[in-house]
Amino acid sequence: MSRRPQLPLEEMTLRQLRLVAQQYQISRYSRMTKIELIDSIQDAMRIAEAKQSFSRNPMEAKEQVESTKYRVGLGEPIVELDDVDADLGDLPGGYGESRIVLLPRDPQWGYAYWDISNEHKDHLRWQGGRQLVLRLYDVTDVYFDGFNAQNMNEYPCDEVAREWYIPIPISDRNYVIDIGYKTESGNFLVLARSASVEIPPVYPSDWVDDRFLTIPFDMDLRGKTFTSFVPPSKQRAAFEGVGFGGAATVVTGTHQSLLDYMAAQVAVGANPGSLFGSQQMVSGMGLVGAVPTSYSGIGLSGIGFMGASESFSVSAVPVRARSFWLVADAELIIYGATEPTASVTIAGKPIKLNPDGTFRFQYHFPDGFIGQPIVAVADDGEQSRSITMNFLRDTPVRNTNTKEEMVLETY
Amino acid sequence: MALGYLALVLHAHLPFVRHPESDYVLEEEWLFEAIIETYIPLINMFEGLEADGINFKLTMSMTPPLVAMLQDHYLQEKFDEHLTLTQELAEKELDRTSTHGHLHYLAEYNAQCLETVRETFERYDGNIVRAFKKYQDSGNLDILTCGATHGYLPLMQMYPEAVWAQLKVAVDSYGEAFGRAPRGIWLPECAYYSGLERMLADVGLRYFITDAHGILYATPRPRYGAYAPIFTPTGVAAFGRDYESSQQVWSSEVGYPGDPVYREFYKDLGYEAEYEYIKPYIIPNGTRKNTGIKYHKITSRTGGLDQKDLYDPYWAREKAADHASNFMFNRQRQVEYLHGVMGREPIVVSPYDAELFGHWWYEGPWFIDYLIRKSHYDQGVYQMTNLADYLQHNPTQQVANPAQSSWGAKGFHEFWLNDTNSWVYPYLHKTTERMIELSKREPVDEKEWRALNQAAREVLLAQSSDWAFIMRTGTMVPYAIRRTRSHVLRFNKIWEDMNQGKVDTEWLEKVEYIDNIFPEIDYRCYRPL
Repeated sequence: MSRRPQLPLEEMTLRQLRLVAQQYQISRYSRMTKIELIDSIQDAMRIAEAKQSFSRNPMEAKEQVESTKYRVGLGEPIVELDDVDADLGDLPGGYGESRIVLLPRDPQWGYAYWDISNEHKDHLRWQGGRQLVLRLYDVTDVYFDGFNAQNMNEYPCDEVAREWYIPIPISDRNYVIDIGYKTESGNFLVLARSASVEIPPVYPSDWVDDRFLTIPFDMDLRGKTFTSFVPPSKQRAAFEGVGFGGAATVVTGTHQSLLDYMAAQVAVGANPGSLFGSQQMVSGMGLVGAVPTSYSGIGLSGIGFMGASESFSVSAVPVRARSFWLVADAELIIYGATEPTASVTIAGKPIKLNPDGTFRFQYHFPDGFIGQPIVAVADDGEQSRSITMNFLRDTPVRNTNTKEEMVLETY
Repeated sequence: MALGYLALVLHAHLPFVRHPESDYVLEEEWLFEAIIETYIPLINMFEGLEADGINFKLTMSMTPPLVAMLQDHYLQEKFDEHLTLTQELAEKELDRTSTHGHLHYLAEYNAQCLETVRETFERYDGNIVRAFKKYQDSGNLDILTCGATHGYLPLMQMYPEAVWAQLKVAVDSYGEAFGRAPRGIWLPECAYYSGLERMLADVGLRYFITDAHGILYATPRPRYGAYAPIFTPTGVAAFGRDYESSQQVWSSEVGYPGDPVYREFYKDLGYEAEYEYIKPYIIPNGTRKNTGIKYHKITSRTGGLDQKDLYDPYWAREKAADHASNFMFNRQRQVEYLHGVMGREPIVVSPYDAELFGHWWYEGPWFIDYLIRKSHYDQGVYQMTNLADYLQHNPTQQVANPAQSSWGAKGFHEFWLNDTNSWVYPYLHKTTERMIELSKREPVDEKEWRALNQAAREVLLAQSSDWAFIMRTGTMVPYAIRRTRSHVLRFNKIWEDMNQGKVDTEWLEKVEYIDNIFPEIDYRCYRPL
């Protein structure tokens, strides 16, 4: 696509017009008069413009049309600087503070950019850092402390880069990214860590749990929560009677019909939206067994599944202020012993026994379900013993802050 | 007894473009063209429906930057001048075409349309927001707000204070313009992420719209697909866009707007006319531009620009009526089917950019007018509603968590995060972090108070997702780049000055005059939540 001329065509000399005509590949331009040249060039410009806008990409049909509200002229008039901007200089190349930011792009890709000072890099290299890497942590449902991610993927990157598109292993989860150096011994020295970011889902949910609420239109929703869900992965049949989310529903004909209806629209290209949905409309399995539940009545008056965090703002005259703090968390310790020569697995993963045959493991215990089958097999492979212990953690109430985060509260 | 609902939603938005410091800025004409071709024709449509006793129901979003511009005196005056100039050209056209029957007929038609625009503009004293407010107060229009400067919220989700500021400033400015609190919000680009519903509830909003898969991929799975709204756990309702009705309008290949009898957007007098004749009406430096005066119809979906025949509004209008019938027929079948499957009344939500109607698709407002009238008189399968009315009458819905999504190409954030525009985010984020820092201060005097507020305005203006959008589409890119740079640099100056305890009053006054959006802004909306 050739550059647009700065001067209006009508002000150009014959020679200048011929140059432009050449750019637009106008045939037999050398025989044209000035007027003919101007006409042909304008036609060519507009055809090119119209072609560019009628993108063949049906996924962008809507955006192409939307962009026409910005289309008032063809040429790009010379852009002058406002004099209020005159002395402000240029955008900085960096800000001197090490940071990395992770942005979601779609279910399969994240985008990270970073700004690391050379001094900081040098410092860590001096400490043994060799290869710059990005580490992507799956921190879904985890209070991330650097070590307790559900999963981690490492991507080496080069020193010059300031940004990277990150492939996402599983969609619909939360991620944090670190940038840092790997040392020769395999240690990781962190330069910067991003905030946790949610990556969108690309499939309809398998989880079916129809609950209906009546909320009057005029109700003030400030500060209120109406329900909380525990996804099926965090439930077990044994806990069904207790607390939240026990009742689940079967996928009904309705769920499936509507999914199919919308999938059909997608298949005929009616979808300007999700690229992935059409191929992957999963027919939900749901959780079999329970009776469909639906609740009515005003959600707020104690139906029994009131949200955990319910706070009403009280308007009071602030008189005094004070601050307070509390932090608490949980860890799980699994320990035991067997013949020192046995092979032991926990949740399918082989573990290393101490020389006396004992073992002891301590993990962070986040919200959710942990199932820990332990199997010990004798060294001759003939005998085995096992035990399975299951743990469910739930945090129905969290009203905490660290000491550093204390703020004055009026009372 | 109707089997379901149809909710037409028009999203009216333009970024804040106002340059009193320059003699001529082409980009200001985005607003002027939209007023002439979209907003005033819509107002005329409302007036016609009212006169005929039709209690129409429509949902519209009017974004804070658009409302600010429509209410701004400087821009109203500039529009007046622009309209005068265009009308002058239309008059000249009457002379020029006096010997050619068809062209003259079109010239008279154009002149008449412009005169109607002038009359309408003056009827509301230059402030057409009054017209929209009037029809909201009468119960016909449900006007939604939007992000303060149409910022792309999922790409600032790691700065909740910034998201809160976009919402809070929007809600406050809506209250000043429309005399009441907004109930619903059009999320910029329908871009939603988990957690937003908490802030929407806390700022007093009641419902929003996502793309279809925002509802379809919700957890747990919605029983009714996107054909009933869901309540998020905070009680805020989410409506899903209907794919089917979208495509018929958006698609330039198979959709209505590409029909051969409709007016051709690309053949404009500004490019066709003889140079000396048109010179007073194009860009002062002589470059040609759109004038809004057009004489040709599309003629063929594949033909070249030199193969366009002359337009005839009579036949175009007939075609718009046909298309409205067709749209109505399709909605009837759709609602019947969905009602059978769902066992309750579906709601088909059809959102569009308002500027599509009248600007890109010249006959668009006629199409809507016919659709409303035909739906009212000629059928009973569905009733047209607006979202507020629907929720009033249907307060029982399923609870679920919507999925992160947008209505952009491919359904997520790529359009605003790619090679053409990813460079803006480091600047936007840094600016946001610094604003949050600044917000913790208490001003020592009035000058600091003004500087802090102006800093907040600069952040908001830099965050307009329009800049990233324009960079990606490739039209008018230098302007978008310039705007991003300007606002980041202006913010930086205030930041640096404040850190040294000083305020450059002379400079500040100039910037306050130019970037004068949200006069009542309070920078403390950026304070940590």
